[in-house]
Amino acid sequence: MLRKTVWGVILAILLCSPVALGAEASPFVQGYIEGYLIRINNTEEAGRTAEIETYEGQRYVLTVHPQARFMIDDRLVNWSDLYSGMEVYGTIQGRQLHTLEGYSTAQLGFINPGSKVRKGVITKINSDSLEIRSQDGSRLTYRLLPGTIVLRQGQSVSAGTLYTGDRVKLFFDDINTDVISRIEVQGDSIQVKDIYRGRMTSVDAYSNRLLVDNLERFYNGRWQDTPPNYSLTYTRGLPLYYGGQVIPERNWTYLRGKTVYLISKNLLGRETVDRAIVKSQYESGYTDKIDSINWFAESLELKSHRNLRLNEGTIVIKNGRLQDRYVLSPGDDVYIVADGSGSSAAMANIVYILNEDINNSAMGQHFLYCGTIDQIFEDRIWLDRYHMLNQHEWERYTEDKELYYDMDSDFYNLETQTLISGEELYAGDYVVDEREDRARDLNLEDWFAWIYTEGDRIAAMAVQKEFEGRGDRITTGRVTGIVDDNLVGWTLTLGDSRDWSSRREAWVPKSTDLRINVAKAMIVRNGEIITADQLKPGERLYIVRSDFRAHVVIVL
Amino acid sequence: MKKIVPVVTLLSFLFSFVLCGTYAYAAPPDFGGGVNNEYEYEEVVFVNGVPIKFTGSGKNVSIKVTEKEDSRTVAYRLKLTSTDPDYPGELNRSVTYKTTLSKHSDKGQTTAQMEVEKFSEKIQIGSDRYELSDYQFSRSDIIDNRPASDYYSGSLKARKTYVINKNQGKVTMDISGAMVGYENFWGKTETQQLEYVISCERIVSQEDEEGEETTSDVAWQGTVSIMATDSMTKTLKYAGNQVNLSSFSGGHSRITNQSMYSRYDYNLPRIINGQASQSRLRGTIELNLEMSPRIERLVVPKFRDVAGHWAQDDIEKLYSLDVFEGTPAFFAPDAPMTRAEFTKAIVKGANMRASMEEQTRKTTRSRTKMPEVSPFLDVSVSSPYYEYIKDGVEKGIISGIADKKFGPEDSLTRAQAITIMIRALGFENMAPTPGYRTTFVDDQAIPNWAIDSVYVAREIGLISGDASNRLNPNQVLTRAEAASMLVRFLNFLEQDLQKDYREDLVLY
Repeated sequence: MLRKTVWGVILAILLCSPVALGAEASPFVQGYIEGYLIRINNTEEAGRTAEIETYEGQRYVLTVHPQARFMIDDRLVNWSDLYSGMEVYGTIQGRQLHTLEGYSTAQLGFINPGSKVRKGVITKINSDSLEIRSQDGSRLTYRLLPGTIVLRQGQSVSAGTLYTGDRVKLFFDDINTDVISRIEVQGDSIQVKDIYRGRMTSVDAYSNRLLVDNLERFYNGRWQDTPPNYSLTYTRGLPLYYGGQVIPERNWTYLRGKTVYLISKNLLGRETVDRAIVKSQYESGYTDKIDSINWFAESLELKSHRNLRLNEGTIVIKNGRLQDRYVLSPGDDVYIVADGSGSSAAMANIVYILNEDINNSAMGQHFLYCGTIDQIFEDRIWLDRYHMLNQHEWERYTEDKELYYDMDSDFYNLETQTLISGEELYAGDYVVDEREDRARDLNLEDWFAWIYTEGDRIAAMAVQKEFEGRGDRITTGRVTGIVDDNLVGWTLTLGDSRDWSSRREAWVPKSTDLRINVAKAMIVRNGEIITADQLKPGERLYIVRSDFRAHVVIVL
Repeated sequence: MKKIVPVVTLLSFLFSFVLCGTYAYAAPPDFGGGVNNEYEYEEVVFVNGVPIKFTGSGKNVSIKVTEKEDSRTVAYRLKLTSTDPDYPGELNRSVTYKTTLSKHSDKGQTTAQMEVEKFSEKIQIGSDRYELSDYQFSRSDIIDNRPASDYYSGSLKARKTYVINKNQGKVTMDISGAMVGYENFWGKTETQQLEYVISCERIVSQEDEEGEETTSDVAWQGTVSIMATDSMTKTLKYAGNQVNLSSFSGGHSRITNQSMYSRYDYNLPRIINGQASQSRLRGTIELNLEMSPRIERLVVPKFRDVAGHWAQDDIEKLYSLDVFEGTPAFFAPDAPMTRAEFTKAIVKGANMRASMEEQTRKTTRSRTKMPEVSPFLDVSVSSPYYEYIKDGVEKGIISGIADKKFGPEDSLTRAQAITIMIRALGFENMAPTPGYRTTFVDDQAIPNWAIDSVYVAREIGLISGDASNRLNPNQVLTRAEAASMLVRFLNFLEQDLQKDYREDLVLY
């Protein structure tokens, strides 16, 4: 009997225990509490207490340790920052709350779209990514999507207009993404204005000015005198190189009397020196093609077997922009201002890359065609016996070429020098069936067209009655003047120009200004046809011409 | 005499400046893209549909700023002449803008409302006279007052109506714009982006072939986009001593530079024989003027133990700026930096005490001053660091290590220094919402309270990892390392902000 009684008591105790009844373990036993904060009281008599309701509905009033830590989403806060109703987790020791953490953030690790920014200079452009050199010198690669917005001076442009050497701001929508949502590209101020050579006479560090005399400007392949300008502003933090080393500004005064090469830009309305290098020995100039580059030894070899050394201070210019020296590649046609003596390898102070193309990068899918129009439908045309420009030379094709157009395509009649619409192109007599009586009676023939495309989409097309030459001369250069000549119409003056030589397979710089008539030329900027009066001095052009007359002018 | 003294006293509280020649206020003058320096003023005017540059100098240009505790008045008096020989003319303008400031001290922000108090403008171009008959203007700014710098952003809407030759028509200019700016001890910049839509309706009189006068109605519309910026910075430059026999080899100078730039992009009709043609006149005009630099030579440090040290230049700069004080012969660059020293250095370097002193002077008028009680048990009121620690705590850039304990002599860690700098800049809110990791290899070692500051500091280029991308957040900073960090912080206030508010807006 006694044994039965004892076993019955033991069984009763076990059945009445919280575990057996299914009730929760006390937080004082567990050492933690989680649930919802009801309130935190702070009174003189009772001190600070926290009332918390667990997920199961039990309420506990806990004494808060004087050194207790309060956090919200892992961030230290004051006790008064915790709100009633907030989900909380607290740790308990010795029946006191030692930590209390609240949870509030809806989206963890969230930033406002576009608030992550990276700034730098483009060093490489691939078909769907680009690499930039950031301000601290590191190289970062990011991806582009078709939806990435590209803005240049506030205007929307295509990614195909990006150049290496462009200074950009990249905007991202997420802290961990490498996909660029928006790119802002520095405007015309990125372009090199002039290359100067002069003798440094003094430095005005207080106004950031270099005082020089005997100033010459590199133009049309040689140094030419300029109107006197004894004081040139330089950018803050201008790196001045001498013998491959950066010279601190406080020591520039010791270089007085030395010849210095200066690269200027138009910044904030003022011509400003953005790069500078001091000549240490004797100057030589080379116009040649790069045969090979040894990056380990930081040297390059020209086709003429001349070796030149590169260094941090070497100034590289391409597409009118200052570039990273790693943009140099074998096959580049260059003009080099070298600094050396005798037979030892000279230092390349300035490397001017002469190569230009209608596509700036791997993203560009622009083509130039010319040929007789065979058919015109409402959304496409066919060219018969056409030529396509490839590597600055025309290639002939005998088959037909189908190209598409839309309402955003530009059409230009070179005979009347007016823009026409797609409907007018379709309805007009630009294509005829020679078997028709009307065609025979009026002596109508198919017109000839110059077409600038993005892929197989026509961006701009100019039509003329007769074939007047394909334009076997390809020329690039910078606009120095535009006039509406009384006799021949709009005529450009081009400086720093070069012609493509198919015999040499190289760009050959010219030593004088060129005058080129554009009265009957298709002029394209950003994929749209413009008129000659809209061209601006300083713009770089790619021109297809027959001697004095241009057929196609593309603004680069 | 009895009346003069109070008047003089009153005037001394009004802080009146003539702008040409001082740096009281970095903001492009008026809202027309004008630029000025100490001597001259330039602006392009489009009232007749043609861009014409007007200039004035000397006594013909007056810009007066008057500041009170809760308002600011700027009065422009300009008498300008056209520089275009094809369009000779004169411009006389007198306009006063009043800004009312409302402080929201609990949020550390101020709102500013600007309106036109009075105006008068007459422009004579050739035989046409344009008189400003109405000027509606409203500008509002929000200013975030952070410890080391104020940041502001504003919006503007205005309308100017000119009457042509009293009864020959009118020109209406609808103006909308946005402006951003910052102001701290090391620099101030304001950049304005303004859009003008100009509408003209007028009667033009012409003589026909028979010599009879006929009139015709002319209407045209054009737009002008203006980007205008005014920027002032203080930079440090070193000047070596030219002589050998001297007690010092060289020293730093603080150079104050201020310059203004504006760019007009216009799209106007071509006016041919008084009639607006279909073709457009498009172009860009740039103006820029800069003030003559102001030079202040600074004291010369004479430490015996920093020559050749990698942080020598930074240490000497800070000593020259009086950020590091005293006359010791040794700086001890590799000794640990203490929390108290760093707090004092950052408060002095960013000149945070100036605003504190102004506020204290304004509010403390009582004859019986309450005895000061230190909020920390381990920092006495008589400590040379007390005022700076108190400022730092009140401005929220530093807190104690425990309840009522500051730890003034405790060594400063990298994480602490970074947190103090980001709080001084007021950039804590730039961090993402909690629940992310930084990209440092030793992210786990970063204290919770420092994660946001470390993230932001890296994003803005204030810090970087070592060669292994480690931050070493709990590493004690040496005095040299702290000096280098402080100089980078001051450069950020001076250069990085200017680049963000000027070049990164204007050139892109």
